[in-house]
Amino acid sequence: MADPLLKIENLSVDYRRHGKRVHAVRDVSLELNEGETLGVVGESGCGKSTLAMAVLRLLPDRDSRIPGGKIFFRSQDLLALDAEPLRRIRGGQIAVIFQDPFSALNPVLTVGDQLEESMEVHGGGRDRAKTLSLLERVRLPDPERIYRAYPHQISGGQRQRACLALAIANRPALLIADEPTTALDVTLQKEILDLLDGLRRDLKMAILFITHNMGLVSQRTDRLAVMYAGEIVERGKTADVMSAPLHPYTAALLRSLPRLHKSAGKLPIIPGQPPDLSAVPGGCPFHPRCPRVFDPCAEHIPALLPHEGRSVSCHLYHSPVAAGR
Amino acid sequence: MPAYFAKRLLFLVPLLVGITLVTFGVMQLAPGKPTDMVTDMNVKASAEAKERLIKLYGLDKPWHVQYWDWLKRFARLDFGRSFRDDRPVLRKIGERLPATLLLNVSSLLLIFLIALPIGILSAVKQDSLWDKSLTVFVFIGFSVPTIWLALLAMITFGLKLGWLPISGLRSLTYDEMSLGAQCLDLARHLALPVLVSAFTGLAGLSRYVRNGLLEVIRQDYIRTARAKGLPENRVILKHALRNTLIPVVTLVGLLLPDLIGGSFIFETIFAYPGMGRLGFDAIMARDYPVIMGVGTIAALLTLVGNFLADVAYAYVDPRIRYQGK
Ligand SMILES: Nc1ncnc2c1ncn2[C@@H]1O[C@H](COP(=O)(O)OP(=O)(O)OP(=O)(O)O)[C@@H](O)[C@H]1O
Ligand SMILES: [Mg+2]
Repeated sequence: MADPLLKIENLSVDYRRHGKRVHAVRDVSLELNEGETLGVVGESGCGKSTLAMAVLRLLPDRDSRIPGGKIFFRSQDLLALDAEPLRRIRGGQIAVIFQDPFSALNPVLTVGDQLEESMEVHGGGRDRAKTLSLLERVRLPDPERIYRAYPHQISGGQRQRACLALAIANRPALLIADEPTTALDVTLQKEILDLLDGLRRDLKMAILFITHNMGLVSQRTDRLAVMYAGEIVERGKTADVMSAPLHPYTAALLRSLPRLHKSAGKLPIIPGQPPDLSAVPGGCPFHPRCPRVFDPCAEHIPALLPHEGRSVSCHLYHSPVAAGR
Repeated sequence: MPAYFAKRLLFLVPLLVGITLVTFGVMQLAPGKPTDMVTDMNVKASAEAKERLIKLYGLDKPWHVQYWDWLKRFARLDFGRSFRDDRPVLRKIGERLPATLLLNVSSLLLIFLIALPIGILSAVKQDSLWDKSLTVFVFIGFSVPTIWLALLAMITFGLKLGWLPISGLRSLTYDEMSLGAQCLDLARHLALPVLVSAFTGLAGLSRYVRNGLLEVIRQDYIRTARAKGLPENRVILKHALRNTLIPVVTLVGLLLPDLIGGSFIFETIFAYPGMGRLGFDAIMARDYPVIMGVGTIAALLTLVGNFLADVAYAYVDPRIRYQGK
């Protein structure tokens, strides 16, 4: 098979906060092929956004550090890239759409300006007609008005569509969508997700779809990676993971699904709290909350190893000895 | 929006009247009389002459009557005549105001020209040696007494090195010069006062820009601007700086009274023929009409400066400009 579009190898990211090190992403490996959709799911604070931002090197450089790992995009090492080639990839071949449409757009520039600017710096020039058709493409009503509007003059849903237009402006090969609908109400959520699906098919984009809501990824992704406390605990085809979760954490996430739909936002969906990432418990990070915890869990760190066509890091499937620890 | 500004403009009237009332009161409370200069310095002046002067100027009336008389004339824009040389106050001010505005506008421009890059550089290279040295530099300007610095500059550049004139605005031979030479002559006379006042006024704006920029750079829309592949200098100079400078517009309005009020002592040191020195001399001579005239014009300029700052603020911030549209 050809090289994957995106390949993350053993990536770790630390934050420095009040003199403490927060290990937000720990030894994560992922692959994403052209045109494929990969969902990354996990509770709030498990490091999903950090992982996504690391790909485009958008982490705050003063208080974050990448102690190890590599990120390859079409075989280019993104972490080793100079400013100019990195700039050309940002918004060109890789685009991103953020969670909060209310703060993602510059309040003092018009929507049209912000869109055109993105095409301009990627060699497309300023083309009003093209910008208007882009606005139409994300199904914004009255593109002429939106074009001239400042962000505060349009609704949240419209802003997220504008952000989507911004993301696809230069026909990226990869779109990183970091909880793109979390800030919107349920009906809008579905509209935006359907729009995203359509665009993905038309533009043959790959999507890295980040969410804490497993319900959103079940129908719309090819593969899934489940994150817990900065690590990937299970990885496999979406259908497999959804129908027969291996890791107890994945199972718990799935069980909490119907409840999640009704309750809004970031309530703990599994008994207990995710660990403080500056002091992750020894052994398996999930063991204090795990319903199937047994002897080795508190002692040994499980490794992410293949099992039945996917990967899982849990002592239920790989005894610590067999895993070589 | 226009209605709002019309209301603001109307509010200026009672405010201005209030200021003139306070000025008048303070002036009356100060020891000494306008007639002292004329009579006490002149041994030949008789007591009757003094009485005659008091009658002539209406100084024998109770002070509120005097104020009311002044206010009635002020309503017709009649500021009266100077006690000292009997020339119309308005003409005396008219001669001096351009020089003061020239000085203050020049130093304000210079402050902007220097403080903006300092603030930007300090923010972009936060905590670097650059940032620290520039901080020390502007705080030296902020902390040294202006009078001391002015004298030091006059001694060094005026007397010891003989590079620049130390007082006044024009050379004696100004009228015989060609236009080019006249401009050069003005510039040479302005150099010391402008440099001194700009140096001592750098801190406010440069720190404001630095801290404002640091705050804005953390915002989501800056991350969006980077994510779409803008070059870093465009991210800073267009996206971040615009948002930072909106409040700075107000700061200018607040600086304006500083520059006008501060010029009393400053202009006197440099023997600068501006409003400040006119006011200073008038106070020394208890020249009531001139004191009132200078005070009123300075207050008016301050109020108008604040008002214009508000208008400008509303204009540059689209969130305010399009309120309710
Ligand atoms: N700038 C930062 N400085 C210090 N710690 C940070 C910073 N940003 C994030 N963190 C910490 O890193 C961890 C991972 O954060 P991240 O935003 O990646 O999680 P997430 O999975 O995206 O969560 P959410 O669902 O809330 O978006 C959290 O514990 C968070 O507190
Ligand atoms: Mg997040």
